[in-house]
Amino acid sequence: MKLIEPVPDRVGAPLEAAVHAPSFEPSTREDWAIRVRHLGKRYRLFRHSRDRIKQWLFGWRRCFYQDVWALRGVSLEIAKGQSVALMGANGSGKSTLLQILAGTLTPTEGTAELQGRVTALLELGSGFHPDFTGEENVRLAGSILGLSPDEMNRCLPAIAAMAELGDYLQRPLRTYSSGMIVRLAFAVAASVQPEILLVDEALAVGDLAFQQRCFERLRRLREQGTTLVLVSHDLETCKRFCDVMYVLEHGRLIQAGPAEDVADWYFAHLCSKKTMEHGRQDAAVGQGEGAFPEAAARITGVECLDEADRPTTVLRMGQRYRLRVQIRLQGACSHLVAGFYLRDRFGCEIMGSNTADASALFPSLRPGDRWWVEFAWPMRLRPGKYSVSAALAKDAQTPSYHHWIDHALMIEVVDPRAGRRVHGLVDEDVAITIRRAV
Amino acid sequence: MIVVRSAHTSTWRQHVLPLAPIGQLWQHRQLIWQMAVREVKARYHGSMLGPLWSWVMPLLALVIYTFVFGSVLKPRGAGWGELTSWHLALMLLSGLLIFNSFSEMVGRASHLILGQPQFVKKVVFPLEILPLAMLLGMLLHLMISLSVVLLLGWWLQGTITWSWLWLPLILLPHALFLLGVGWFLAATAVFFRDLVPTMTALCQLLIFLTPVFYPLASVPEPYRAWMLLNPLAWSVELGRAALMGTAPPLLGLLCFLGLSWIVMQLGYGWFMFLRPRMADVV
Repeated sequence: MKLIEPVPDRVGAPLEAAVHAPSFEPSTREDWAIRVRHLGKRYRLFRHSRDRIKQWLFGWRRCFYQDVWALRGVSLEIAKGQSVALMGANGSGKSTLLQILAGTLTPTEGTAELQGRVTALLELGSGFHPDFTGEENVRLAGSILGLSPDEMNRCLPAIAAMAELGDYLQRPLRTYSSGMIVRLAFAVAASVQPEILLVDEALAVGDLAFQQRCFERLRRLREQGTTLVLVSHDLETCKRFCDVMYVLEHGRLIQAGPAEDVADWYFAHLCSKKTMEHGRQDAAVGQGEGAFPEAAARITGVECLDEADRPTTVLRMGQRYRLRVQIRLQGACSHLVAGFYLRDRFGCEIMGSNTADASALFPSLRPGDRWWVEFAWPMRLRPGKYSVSAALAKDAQTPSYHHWIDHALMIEVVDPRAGRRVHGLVDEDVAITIRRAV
Repeated sequence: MIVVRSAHTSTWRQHVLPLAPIGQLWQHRQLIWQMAVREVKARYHGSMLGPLWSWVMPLLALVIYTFVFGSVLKPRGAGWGELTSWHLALMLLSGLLIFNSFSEMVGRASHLILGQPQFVKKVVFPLEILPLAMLLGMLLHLMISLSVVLLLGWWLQGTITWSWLWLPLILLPHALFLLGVGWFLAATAVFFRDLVPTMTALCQLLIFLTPVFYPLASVPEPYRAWMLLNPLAWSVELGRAALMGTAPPLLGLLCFLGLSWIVMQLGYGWFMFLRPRMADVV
């Protein structure tokens, strides 16, 4: 029996009371494609499959399960032709929402109305059988998606062309590479002309060229007026591709609006949440914040200053900035190393430094001392958002920390010289000369 | 066209109405057909003899039964004592083929949904057609196997008996019964996984409570009426009678049809009642 991971209590205040709850006014417009009202999905978690039987028999006396709301109080309205992204961490309920819309899950409360022919791409290639030929599988998959045999006959050449399988279409599926299966599956799904298309991270497989082709196809469907609902983790893709973005957290809708704005909000939200998570001592993972109870030193603040000593989070390319890490010593320690890392939106460490590498020493390390460590450098990273992580270590060699804060500060690099292209990650001053060869 | 998805979209009551399954399954006729074709192809896939296996196995069984029941064990049931060993083997084989279709249904229905979770969670799929598609494949297999019995009967008797035309009419309620059992087991096994081993064991016992190895007439009276509660006893007995040249009693056939229709209807209702919950558990 598959048990769902226990999650903290999701039943809380009603939606209206949620911090960033988007306002929902049921509109009377006619051109809606999807209308969702107070949708909720509850799972009953039985500790043991035996308990399910007990519940049937003795349910009137005692409760043998634990209620978990995977989704609660979600209301939204999607207009025809809109492209919508559902974002959220794992377990936030976005896939549950999509599956309810698709019809594979039944909601516990509320309603979802869909206007038009719905096609769901929850997983590419599900329902394929390895012993049958590509064509046989395509025909069955088409029937599942609701194509009649006549329509299928008409679509088959297009599918074969899009999947680029050639002769392989007549061979058993088990002789295919996984990429071929995915291509075939997407080709089938794309051949249906849906009015509403639901896609659940299905496109996160396959090589880059294939993904681009998928998005090309999605774009064409969108131009033809198809309403798209995408579930994805990839913020950038969603931002580029969708008009509207919804963010779910712990089964609740916490933000909605134009994709660009919500994507920025969500990124900041993610980072601030990570900063708030206290007490994680998992330094190797590099997530959140951590301190040992007996730690001798703490970071009390991280800020970025421009040349006029003003704190700022928007940095202009080419200018010099100082990153100030404020430290307070609580106990005695013999060595102290302060350092920082800059990460891009993918979590990649772009640059960093620490006091040990620069052989900078603290003049004294007495309890109660307060120090500012300032790292100064000209900002040459390409425009974008970066997060600053700061750490205090006992020495530079072993990863034993006094205190660290991931995503202590969010900064954004902007390019004051509009219209210039930045090649790569760093915009170094490159001196260029052209000389005649001798 | 507006689709509404809510907790109360469907009630099980609408599925137990008489004839409800027929209307609902008719919409999916194309998919049912494709799944049935796939079922048949999968059965013979990769084997060199292909559908010939459906002949070879009964033929082999026939030879062995003839030897065992003709020369080693002589069954003494009512009327069975006078049969030649070939006739006897024919009786046994026809009963066994019919019973086997039941035990195959029991054995496979329990895995039907559990073994294909992708149809539950990953695609929007009318799960209720799976037992039907499987049944269609099984019926084809059963008919091919039964043709061995018919050919042998033709050879033994030298003529074709008109009562053989009753066989499809006897197989119809049998199929309905299997379908009901299939729906019931496929749905229940999702929630109650102990069902799989339980049913396999029960099936092995049930063969002795079904007149396969003996004629129903040899069962003493107080028990005989009870045995008729087992729909398999009807299919085996009526099928054999038709094979031996006796037209089945019309009233009996109608009773059987009614009985198996109820089983089918209840199985469908039960399946559709549990259907919305399956995705939560699989």
